[in-house]
Amino acid sequence: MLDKAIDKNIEIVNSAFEDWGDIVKRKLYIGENKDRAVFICYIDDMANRTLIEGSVLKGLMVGIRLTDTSDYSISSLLDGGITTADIKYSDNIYEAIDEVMAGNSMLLIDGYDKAVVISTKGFPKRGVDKPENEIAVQGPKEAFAESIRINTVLIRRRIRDTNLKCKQMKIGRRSKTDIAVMYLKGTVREDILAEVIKRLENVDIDAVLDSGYIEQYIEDSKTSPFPLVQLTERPDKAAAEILEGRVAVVVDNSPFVMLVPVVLASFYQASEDYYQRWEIMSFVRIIRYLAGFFAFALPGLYIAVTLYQPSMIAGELAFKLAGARATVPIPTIAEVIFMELAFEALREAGIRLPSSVGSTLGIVGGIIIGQAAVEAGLVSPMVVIIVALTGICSFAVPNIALVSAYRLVKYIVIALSAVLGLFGWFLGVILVITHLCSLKSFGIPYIYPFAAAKGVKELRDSIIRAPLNKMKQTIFNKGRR
Amino acid sequence: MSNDKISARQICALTVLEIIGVDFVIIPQLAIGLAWRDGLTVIIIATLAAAAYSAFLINMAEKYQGADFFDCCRNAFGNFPSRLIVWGFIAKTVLFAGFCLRVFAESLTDIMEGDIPLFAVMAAMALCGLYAAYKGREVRGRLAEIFLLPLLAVIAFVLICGVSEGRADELLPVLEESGFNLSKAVIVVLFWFYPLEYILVSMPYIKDRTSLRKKTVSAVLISGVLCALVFTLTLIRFGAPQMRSLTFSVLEMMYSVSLPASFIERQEGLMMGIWTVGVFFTLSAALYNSGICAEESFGINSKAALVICTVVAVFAGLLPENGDRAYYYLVSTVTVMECIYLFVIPIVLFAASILEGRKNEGRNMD
Repeated sequence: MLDKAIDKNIEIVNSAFEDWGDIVKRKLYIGENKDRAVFICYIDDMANRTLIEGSVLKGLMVGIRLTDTSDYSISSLLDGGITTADIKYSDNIYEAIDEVMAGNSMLLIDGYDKAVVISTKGFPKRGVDKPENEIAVQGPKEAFAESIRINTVLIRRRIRDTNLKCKQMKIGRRSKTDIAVMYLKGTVREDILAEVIKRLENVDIDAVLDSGYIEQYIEDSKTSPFPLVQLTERPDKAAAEILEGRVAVVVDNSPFVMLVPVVLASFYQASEDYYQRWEIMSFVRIIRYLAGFFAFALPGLYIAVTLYQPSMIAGELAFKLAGARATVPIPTIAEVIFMELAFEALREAGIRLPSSVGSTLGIVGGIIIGQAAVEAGLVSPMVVIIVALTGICSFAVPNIALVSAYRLVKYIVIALSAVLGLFGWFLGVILVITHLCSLKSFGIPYIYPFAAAKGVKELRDSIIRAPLNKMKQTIFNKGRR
Repeated sequence: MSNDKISARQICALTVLEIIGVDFVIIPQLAIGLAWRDGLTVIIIATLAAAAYSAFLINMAEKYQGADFFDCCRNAFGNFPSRLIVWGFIAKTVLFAGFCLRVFAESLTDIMEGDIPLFAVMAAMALCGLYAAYKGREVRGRLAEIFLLPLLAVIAFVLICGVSEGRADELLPVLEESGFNLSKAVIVVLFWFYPLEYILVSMPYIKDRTSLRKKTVSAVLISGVLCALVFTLTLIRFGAPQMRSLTFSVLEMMYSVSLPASFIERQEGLMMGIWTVGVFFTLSAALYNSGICAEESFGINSKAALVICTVVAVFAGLLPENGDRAYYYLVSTVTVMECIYLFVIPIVLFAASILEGRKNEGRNMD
């Protein structure tokens, strides 16, 4: 609650912002007789100083300087003194302090038991840039930025519909991070929306520094390596998914927007799939699915076949494989695991280094060290090919979170293949599929539409991308139920 | 263990995979053993009979308002007899799973070139089945939807590739066996449609049962047709005497079919995949159904029930001295126990429901 006596309120504000070197506070007297005290407070450089000076201070100090404010109503005072539309009133001083910390300005008026919060956010922020992770040959080149408002605007620009709703909330006891839940009313399934909001409201955390924090709190399974929330940096993708009936969660300070619910097939979809002809993109999708499968299954298959079922392979190929391995002193399993781990290390190093050095490291690691290892007889050329092929396959999947899960699962399949041969490889694949079947995202089976679909029509945006006019309903739509 | 509801379509896919899981290997072998070349006729008649019988079973279950099999037993026979029935069901299902595991492991270690211990294969397969069973009915339903088409496609592909390598005259002459022999063979083959009783156990958890009868009949027909095709191909490829002498003639047939334009010299690996997936479904169904019955009957935790059933199944599988004995025990278990569980009890339940209906009518008249 606020007190009518301004000094008591100022005392609370001063105590809250004690030792804040970057806070700007000023008490001034307005009106003809300078008999009405007002107090303004904002954080330097988080608030737009020009806006404050031009639309608030100038109005209060100059605009109403000849007015007798003693019997002047507060609303008239604000109408005359503040020339910006975006203001709100708060009857809780601590809420108003939170607003100051979010970049807004707080105006306290003597004799008035409400704080006026003026929207003056103006902190430095990165503008709209090009996407770095979800690159598309055809389609928009805009990516989300760190500012929640830029991100919601980027989505709104694409869906000019009054049904595009944006529910805002704050999460984080200390960070009080702004979260916007965007959805298309009438299209979204109400049960899913309610569940999303419920889970967001239940997040109990000190600070949200990126959308990844929220992701880990709201996902269905905490023990699965597979992503159960989709992150995107492309506004066109977020808009498309909202139109499909999914919910977008925009987190302040994060350039990634979360999309829920999610199914495995979503991770194989890229924005440009819908910008090009369906025949071509269906072919590309098939390649992606095959690549995704080999990204976790290929090394295990190689071990199983070479160690346990060499007679399965055609004679000439088997001889070539055996010949290539003849001089290698270490067992196949150790060879594959060593190369896989080396590849992982190279990949990790390549990500952390600056792009110019990263690409050089890729060349040095991939070609020179690989070649040297083969020539030294430490690894067979076939293993280098298998590991490289596995790596390429993982890059063909357009989602890094899914690829990371495959990278982990690959070692389980390798272990089973090493112990039980081809039978172990089959068991590994069955276990992975069983695990995928057991996952759900906000009540939606993760494996949809390959299972739990109501008909073949729902498969139209999965392995095959059907013509746009044929794709209307999915499990996310309200129409599905 | 999740007991979420599953759709009629998923039940249909599950039933197909549970039937063909081991049946596509065993039914042709039984048919040739009992009726020689008339095995094809036997499989066709048994399939049609099983389809009709499945419709009857669904009808019977509907008479009990979709209650599960053991609730129906409790209603009809009382508490203690129904408990005995449940215990019998658990015992026969666990034994079946164990012998099935052993037969699978024996056939697999024969074709695998590496020296993998039998127990390792059995334990690994059992754990895989346990994992799926632990995930519950809904997950198994989804798995079935995913695996059904690829599995059928691979089997169909192998059959198409193999058909040109056989001699059609091996199919003739037909109808040489006596009517008694044919009937006996039909009944024995009919027992192998035992997964129909799993539908009865799952009745309360099936969503939208309006199409259940149709879907179950289709599942039985698909499985039967597949077994008939596999029988035909094995027969025309090996001839009746050789087919009869082999323990797993169907597997041998599938290994020997040469796939065109393939860099795979021998497709044991591919066949191993089909066989593994099939047994995985059979096993997970057996473990799941015995697990939920043990949970309800003994009041133990579902995880504990599943683990106990799995451990007992693995040990039961290790008991026979060799694969042939395990196969013999497997066939005997199904023949003896399914006679009771697939036929006697459902028919008595049906009769009881009719009598109960008449009694109610009589009371209403009074």
